[in-house]
Amino acid sequence: MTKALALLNDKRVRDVVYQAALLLGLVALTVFFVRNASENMVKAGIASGFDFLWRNSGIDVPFVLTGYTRSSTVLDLFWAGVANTMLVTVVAMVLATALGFLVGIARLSSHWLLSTVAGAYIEFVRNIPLLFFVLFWYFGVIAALPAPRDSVSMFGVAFLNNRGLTIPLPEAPAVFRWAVAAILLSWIAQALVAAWARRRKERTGQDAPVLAIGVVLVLVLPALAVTWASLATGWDVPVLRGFNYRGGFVVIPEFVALLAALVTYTAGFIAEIVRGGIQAVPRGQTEAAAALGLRPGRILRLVTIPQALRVMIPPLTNQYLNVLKNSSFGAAIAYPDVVSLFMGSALNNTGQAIEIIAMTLAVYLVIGLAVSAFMNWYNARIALVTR
Amino acid sequence: MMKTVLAATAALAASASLASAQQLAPSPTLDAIKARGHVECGVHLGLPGFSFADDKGEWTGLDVDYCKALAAAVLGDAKKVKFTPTSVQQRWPILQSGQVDLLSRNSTITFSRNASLGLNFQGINFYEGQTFIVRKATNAKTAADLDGASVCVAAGSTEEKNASDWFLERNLKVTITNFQKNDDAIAAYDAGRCDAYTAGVGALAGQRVKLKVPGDHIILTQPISNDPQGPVTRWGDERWQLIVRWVLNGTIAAEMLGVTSANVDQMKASSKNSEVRRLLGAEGNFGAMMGLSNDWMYNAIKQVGNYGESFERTVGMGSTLKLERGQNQLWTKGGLLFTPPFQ
Amino acid sequence: MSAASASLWRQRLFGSPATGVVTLLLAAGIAWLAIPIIRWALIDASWSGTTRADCAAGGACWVFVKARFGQFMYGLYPQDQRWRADLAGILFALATAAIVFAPPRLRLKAAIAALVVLPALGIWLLAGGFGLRPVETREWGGLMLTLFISVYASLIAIPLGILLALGRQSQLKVVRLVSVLFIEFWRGVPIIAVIFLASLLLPLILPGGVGIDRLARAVIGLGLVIAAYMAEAVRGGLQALPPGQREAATALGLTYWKATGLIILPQALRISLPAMTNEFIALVKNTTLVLVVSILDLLGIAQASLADPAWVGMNMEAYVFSGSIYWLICFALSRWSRHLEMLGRRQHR
Repeated sequence: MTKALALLNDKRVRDVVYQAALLLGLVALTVFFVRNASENMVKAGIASGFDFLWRNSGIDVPFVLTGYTRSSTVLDLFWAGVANTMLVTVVAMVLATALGFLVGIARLSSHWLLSTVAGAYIEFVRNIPLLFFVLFWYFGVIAALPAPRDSVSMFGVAFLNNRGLTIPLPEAPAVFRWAVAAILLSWIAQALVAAWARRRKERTGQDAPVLAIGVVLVLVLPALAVTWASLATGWDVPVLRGFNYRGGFVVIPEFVALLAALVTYTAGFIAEIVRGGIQAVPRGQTEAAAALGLRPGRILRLVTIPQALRVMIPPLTNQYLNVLKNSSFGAAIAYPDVVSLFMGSALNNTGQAIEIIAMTLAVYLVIGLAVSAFMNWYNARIALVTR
Repeated sequence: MMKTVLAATAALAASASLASAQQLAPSPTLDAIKARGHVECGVHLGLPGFSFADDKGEWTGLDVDYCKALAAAVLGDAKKVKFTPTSVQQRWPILQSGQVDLLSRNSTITFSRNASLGLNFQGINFYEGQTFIVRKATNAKTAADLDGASVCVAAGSTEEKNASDWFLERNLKVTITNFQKNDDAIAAYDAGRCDAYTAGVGALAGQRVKLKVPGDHIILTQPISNDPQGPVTRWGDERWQLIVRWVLNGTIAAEMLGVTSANVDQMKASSKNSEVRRLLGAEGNFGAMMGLSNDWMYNAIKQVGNYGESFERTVGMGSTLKLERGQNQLWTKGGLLFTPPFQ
Repeated sequence: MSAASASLWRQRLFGSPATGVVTLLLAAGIAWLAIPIIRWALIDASWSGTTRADCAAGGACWVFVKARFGQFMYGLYPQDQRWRADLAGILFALATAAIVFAPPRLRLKAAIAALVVLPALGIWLLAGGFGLRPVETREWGGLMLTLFISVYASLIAIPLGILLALGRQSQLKVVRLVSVLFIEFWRGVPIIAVIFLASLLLPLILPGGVGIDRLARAVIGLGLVIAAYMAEAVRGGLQALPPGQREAATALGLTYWKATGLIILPQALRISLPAMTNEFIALVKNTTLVLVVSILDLLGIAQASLADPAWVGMNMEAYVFSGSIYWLICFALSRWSRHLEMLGRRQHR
């Protein structure tokens, strides 16, 4: 008895007991839930398993990046949704960062009105639920755009109306794969050249003609590749017939509205991060740079932002993850993302709630992990550069 | 003497009812309803004419009336029913998980729902046909004129698939945009996102009042599908399914037999028609066979009215929707509405 | 305006040609944006009347908001019982004030007393029973429901978040692993999916016959997610404390829980209070998502009222009115959070 008590008083034993108890409790809880679920499902006559993924989906999707059609499987529908989620997320991340930096820097401007306007924007945006933005942009975008008959024509090949932006589609997309490959190659080349030039400058102090090479590699070569590809293929140019333009690819207004909502909303948060990051850079740094004769623009680019980035990366990562999660708000306005297509349409047709919700959550967790991993790698890289 | 006879009769009746109760299959749903004192009925989020809550939270509509009749039959009081508004997305899980006793929510009866979602359909209270609402300015007269149009629809509804199938079959190209809720879809249509919004004729007549200028829009008359709709229960609990089915049949039978909320007392007292007498509990033991009181249908008709009364009041000429009876007329008068005999 | 301040403003806005150009461009932009809005919302707006016919075209129809005001605030809560919601609100406000302004010695006791008594009292007042007329949760709605969900979800989230944050710092491997997994899982998934999950899955995984109220499910779902975010906010406070604090407490012979409760948490929570307030703001904003499971919070009521045939086309009015309420609440909270942060910084110096 006393021995048992003594054992209980031993910290190591107690720790093991605590942890075992916690683990046991969790396992018991899980078993309890799973058993109830399977019992309830059998009672309710709900099918289970993943067979439904290979069934014909039969759902029309107005905005498809993958090869999905209505005769594809439910699994294809899932991937079409994932692709749409990723598209809007990535584009929104890039644009929100740009807008956020602009607003954040404007907030710190010495111009009183500019910084006040930026401050008002931030306070306005941060304190309103995102759903309002999504609805506002959606109905705002639709109201602002003309009906198909009065479309805004862009050089007679692309047309903007309240059914979306219709752009021509190449008839032989394979050509474009080559063009994309060429563009990627030239960009990689540019990255290598830049790295080589930086190392040389650190070693010898000499400037290489990076700018000229860069223009050729980043702009001229890709432009040539795209021009060649566009000439090498025929084009499916949209034409107005009946209700709307036929042919081409349609960028739907739901995409534009969701994108605009995510960008304007997230930019308010990124602006605050940028402001905090820049303010965290000691004032002596800018003063020293100014004493060396650098102009304000170059001080910002070469001295302030690289140092501010170190403070900013962790909260920026959080904002990027928020963009990913917030892209699910598209379900409120019929943007065919994974929540809307898979957790909406597919769930309704198959009724298999548990499997579908689990797959949907997994998508967000996996993409989120990838974003975090990338940002951690980037963080480590810039930490290394600043030494 | 009189007293003892009465007591003996009462005891006999009690034991008889006890005996009949023992013969009844157990019905957990009915027991739960009696214990909590009200029926839990899942309805549409807000569809004028079928199920719509006014700004006081009072529900009205054809689907709502059915639930009131059910409450009157089961609990003797049409007010003892509570409504859970459900979206297209949530309706099946809410029913399957037992949060409502039934759905009365203009949901279409289909094979796959019946076979793989664990749902049973207990008859038809509305023959719906899917069609489109379009702007008058488009000059579209039939669905075939919609080639190239974009169509707004609620995701996961039968309308989504019907429309897609119908246009594909005819080699017409339409763009279908799926919204999570009917109201979102109709708002987008009204804002100009789509050329047409698709739903059943009855539903469209109800939704139309939500448009900014209802007069600018026209409902295409030719339906592209048959969408019979009726109350839905989950699998299991046969006796509850029986009750749901026969209360619906009862309201239709009452119209067939000319029993209305106005004449039900007189009919019960003096009708010579034995089907009327069985329906109203003056003859036979029909209520008791399901574990209800014998005046189950008497209560339902007295408090809510027969099918025809309910139809006229909610979606018919007595309402803002002004729908014709059409297919929803009794089969004896050229419609499809039918009930097996109360025999 | 005195001459000195006039010249200060001239310097600020037109100090140099470049400054002047920026000022003019911005002023033009503001005018272009603001004038139509002000005309619509104030000048051309209709304020008095009772029906849609009383509204002039071109301006906002605030008559609609007036007619629907009760619903925007309380949903379908019975009119003669609305005092109960008011009373619950006043009690919560008083309790918050008491905790904030109580002398530091009594603050903890006041907080504990409030936490024990108020949640139950609030539910009793709103839901009824025990002498009050029962009001079902399906009749709740509007701003009252938004606040209810926010407060009760954070009643789940804050204690759970503190435990998770402590768990994440724990020496015990299993505890740490479980906490990290829990936190990262809930932080990684969209809240819209969580609310959906809670509403569909909770009834499935509980034994047959055990029903949970629809509103309770949404509150539990939100509470679990926000707990994960709260945990990260508390972790910030815990990490800001020098490790010497715990070491000293342990050296004095305090057990883990005593050291945590008496030494660590009071300091850590004070540091993380601004971050926790920010999470609360996020929670208030995220309550709008409950409308995916047809619970009518403020935004839900606004949307539902648009379906009323008597008031067709009031979208702008409904959204602007409900949006400004969210904005006011969140803005006030964010100001308070910033004030706390300043206070904390000053104390640290």
